[in-house]
Amino acid sequence: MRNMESLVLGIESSCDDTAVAVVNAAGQVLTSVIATQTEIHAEYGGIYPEFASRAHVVAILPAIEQALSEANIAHGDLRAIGVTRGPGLIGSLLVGLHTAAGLGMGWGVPVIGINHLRGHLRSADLEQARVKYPAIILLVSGGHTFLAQMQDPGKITLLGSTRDDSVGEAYDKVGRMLGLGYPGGPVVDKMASQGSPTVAFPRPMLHDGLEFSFSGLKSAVSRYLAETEAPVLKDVAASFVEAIMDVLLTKCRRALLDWRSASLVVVGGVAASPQLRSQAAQLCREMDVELCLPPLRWSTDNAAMIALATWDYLHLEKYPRPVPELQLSISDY
Amino acid sequence: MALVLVIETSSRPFGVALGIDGNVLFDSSEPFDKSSLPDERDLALLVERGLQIIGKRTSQITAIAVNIGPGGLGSVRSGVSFANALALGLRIPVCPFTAFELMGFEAWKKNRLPVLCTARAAKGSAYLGLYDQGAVTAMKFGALEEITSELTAGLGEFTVAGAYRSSVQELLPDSKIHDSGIRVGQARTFMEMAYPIAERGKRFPHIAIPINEQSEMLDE
Ligand SMILES: [Zn+2]
Repeated sequence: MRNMESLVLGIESSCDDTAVAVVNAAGQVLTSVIATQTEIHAEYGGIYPEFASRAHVVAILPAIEQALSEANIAHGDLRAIGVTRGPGLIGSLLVGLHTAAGLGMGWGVPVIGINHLRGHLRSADLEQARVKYPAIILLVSGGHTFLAQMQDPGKITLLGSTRDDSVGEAYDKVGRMLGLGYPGGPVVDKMASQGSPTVAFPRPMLHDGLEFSFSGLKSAVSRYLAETEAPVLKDVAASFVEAIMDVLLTKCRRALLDWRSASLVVVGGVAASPQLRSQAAQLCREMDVELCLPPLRWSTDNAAMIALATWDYLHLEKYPRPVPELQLSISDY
Repeated sequence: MALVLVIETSSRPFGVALGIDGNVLFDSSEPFDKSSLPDERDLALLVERGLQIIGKRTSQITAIAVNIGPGGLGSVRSGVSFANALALGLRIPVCPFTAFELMGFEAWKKNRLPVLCTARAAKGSAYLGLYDQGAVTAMKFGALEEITSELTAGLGEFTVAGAYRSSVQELLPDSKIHDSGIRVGQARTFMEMAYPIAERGKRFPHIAIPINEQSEMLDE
């Protein structure tokens, strides 16, 4: 057994993956277990909330047992359990929250309801302190798209978020239109790399501050496909990706101009995009700031980031109850 | 001493009962001081409050009984998740029972007749169960009209319970049907049911699983 109260158990079930991790106060990850549901949802071309929630019920306790045994610890080693309380799919959140509450009660360990977005913002410091503060963070995933400024790990300002679809959703929908299946990100990026950006798709809100909007772009792709005889799909994919990148990088550049920053951090599932990675690298060279791209396993939804955020809550003495809250913004604890 | 925690999950707020050797000591449907319970969705706080009122500690619970539905999707999964986790945390059995065992038992006591138990499902479908002789003898999922006629065929006189009490009476105007007035069962009723905890109680890795339209306990 390790030192008493030296570890945090993180639980994340806000969407389609059941994730559990054990993390210490320095951000060291003792174990990170993810029971994925991708196969269940591939059949539907997207997340089917009812099945996601059902699968969490079956997967969550075995995942917790596995995490404790892999980390070779007992519940007596836990200082707290941190569990995502929102935003996310309500049916999925409820399973994680009630599981955490039941375990915490049975073990006599405090349970804290964590803001999922704060987890993402902290993900880049897992395993090692990578972020140079102050930092601009771009979070781009299936669930979220926003830019934030972090003065330090606890001091966060939202700069702008999407008014409609997330980047990941836009990718998934365009992936479906191009007949590429789910999830759309990697397949659309791959097809785009083989084409040329010959179609002038719109860049919604390009000149409008730091807010995003992607539903107009998605509709434009759909319209183009419907109206064009024999469209060249790889060129459509390339044009779509170019429009997305143009919007994301323009907003990042604007944020870096507005805020004195030491680094740009890109997190979320879309951070896997080779196009985004190379263009962000180029932007950072131009702006003379450090680019921070954490390993992808911490960039997509995981429980280690929730556990690391839980340490922030403990240090700040914030203890939200483990009950769902769907409308959390990043400035909320 | 057997201190049993019962969680009724059909709808929110959750119903919680605590009893020792079959005697109900706490019933959340009766008035109690809720000052330390700011959020009715907070099941852990509700259970803690109940334990505090009867002067017991969490570690003294010897078994947890939980309603696995059919009922509200979110509330059933919430309650079942909590029960499974608390049972694992305390290394005690979790005892799954169905909403129909509970409401059937209560309705049967009124008229001593077979009980048609009903619950709403997604997209206008229904779950129906026939409770008779102390057990649910048949359970179906499907369109209300269809499964009502299948389950009540040959029943002269019966009692109806659950969400579709008036719909069933409208569907079968010529049958002799008693309305139990019961919409959902009460957590405390579990204490009266002869539930074989030693036999049916599950220990991790076996857990309680909410009923869904693919559950094995449903009849074709
Ligand atoms: Zn996320």
